[in-house]
Amino acid sequence: MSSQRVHVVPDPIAGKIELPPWLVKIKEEPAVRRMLFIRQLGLKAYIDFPGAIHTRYSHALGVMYLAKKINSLLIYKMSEKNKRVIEKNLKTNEEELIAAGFLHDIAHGPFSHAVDYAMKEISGKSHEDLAEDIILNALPSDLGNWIDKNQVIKLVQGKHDYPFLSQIISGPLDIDKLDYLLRDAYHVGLKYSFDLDYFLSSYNILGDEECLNKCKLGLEDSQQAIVTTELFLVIWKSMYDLVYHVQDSRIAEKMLEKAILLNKTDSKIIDRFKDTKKFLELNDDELLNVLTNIGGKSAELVANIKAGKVYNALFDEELDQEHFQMSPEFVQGLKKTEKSNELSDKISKQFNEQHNKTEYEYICDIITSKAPSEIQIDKQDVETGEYIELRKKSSIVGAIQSRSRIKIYSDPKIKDPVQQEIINTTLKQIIEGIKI
Amino acid sequence: MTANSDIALLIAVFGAHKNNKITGRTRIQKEICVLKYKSKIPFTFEYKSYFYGPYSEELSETINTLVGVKLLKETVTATGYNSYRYDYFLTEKGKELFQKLNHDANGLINKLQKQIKTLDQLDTPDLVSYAKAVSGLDSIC
Repeated sequence: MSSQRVHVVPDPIAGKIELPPWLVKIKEEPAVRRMLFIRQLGLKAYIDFPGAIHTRYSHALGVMYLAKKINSLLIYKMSEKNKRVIEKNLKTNEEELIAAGFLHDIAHGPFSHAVDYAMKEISGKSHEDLAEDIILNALPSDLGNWIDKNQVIKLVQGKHDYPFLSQIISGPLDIDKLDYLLRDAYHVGLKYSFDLDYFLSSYNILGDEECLNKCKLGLEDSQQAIVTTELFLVIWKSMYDLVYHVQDSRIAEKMLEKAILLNKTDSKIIDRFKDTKKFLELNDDELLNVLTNIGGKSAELVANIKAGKVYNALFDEELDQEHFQMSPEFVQGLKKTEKSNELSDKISKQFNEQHNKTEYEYICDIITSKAPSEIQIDKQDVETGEYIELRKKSSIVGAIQSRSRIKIYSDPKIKDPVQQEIINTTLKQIIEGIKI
Repeated sequence: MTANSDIALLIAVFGAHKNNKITGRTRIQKEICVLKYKSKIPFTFEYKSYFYGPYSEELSETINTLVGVKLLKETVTATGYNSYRYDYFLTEKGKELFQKLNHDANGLINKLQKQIKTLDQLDTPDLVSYAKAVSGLDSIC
């Protein structure tokens, strides 16, 4: 009998999660502990959803748990389908996949997605890029269990040689989404019934196993798979409308982003985001402290966020060609969160200039509700031989379309804010003039 | 070609009702049962015998989820001591989805409206009996 103690932690979503030996070894590392001090839903816990106090750490555990679960399920399924090469590959990469599940968000900035854009602007790196540095240099060189850190990094960055493995961590059906939808809904108090096991049993790996680099994570071709995926996508879409894009929290997040960007040339801020060692000390509370100590407008924005006094929502319009003349590049940019953050920041600056205001007295925000990415089912088109897209089989999936809205928020200190019509005209001029 | 599965069909059933509303959980359960077994609307909800005839837990869960994601709204009316009726109707978001689904293209709405008009003429006990008859599922006690 083994004398090794089994480490199990309770979890509100998974029930119980067993920690693998390598995690027991690294769980006290500052890079790992830091995730306990970053709220999974950022400022939403302070503004609209007081129950959303869960952290990146609990999400990381949940994704790790699902990585093991989906891997076992796919191994079983591949064995049943006699796809021995894929089965062997899943077995070989199991530990890396589980480690990638846990480490996929290790480089998230404070307040999670709220600082994504500011972080990229300052450090030039996304959290996925920064993860490489942290996994290689801030964790022990040997994680044990023969885990290949470079493979873990490839999985986290979605660059593994075999797409079906990357897609388990990052893709249209990834386990990251599965965990955050269930976990976030639980903590914000949104109730819905979703049978995760039933959904996971619909997963499949599509493609000829002789070409592993072309195999993809997809779905079985069954009514059950389609029905469950529709439900999953309806929930996914609704979480954006009801939680992730809810107005006051969103405004607070934009205020925080601007509080950072106002100091993007200040060494106190640059060091915190560029120097990995200092970045690993930067959690939610620490970021608020840094910004408060800098003083000026940044400190004022932070004080207002803490006091729950967010900017006023002044203008809200669908961002389509009927209202605004947008270049094709602009329209393309809206599809990527990073680019639309860049565009809205550019518009914010020009808008304040045109109305003789200092930087970020008005804040422009562009919110895009995305359509689901391409999900394929295990059925090939007789003419092209390509796997059929779920969108072509499901009216519900086809009805979930991408839409963008443009919003203007104003500092409550502005006594006489710009009128709707003038905002509209100014935005039209700015958007038409934007060159990408 | 795209197909309508459970969520799309449920939205269509609500869309085909007057005021986009169904009164009472029992009526929802039995109407969908009749539409599945008699009218051959391809719902995948599994029904079993329960206290008041055919009942689908999956349907009940899906309705709860649609309420959770704000496609349906649930209202509760007291009908006596410790007795309540739960009504459901499409929200604005639900109506928007109903429009997008464009069910008219395959005549689904016309078909549903005809069936629903017939079912509306039945009071709830008669609807329960009808659902039992078409599904072959009786009450368990």
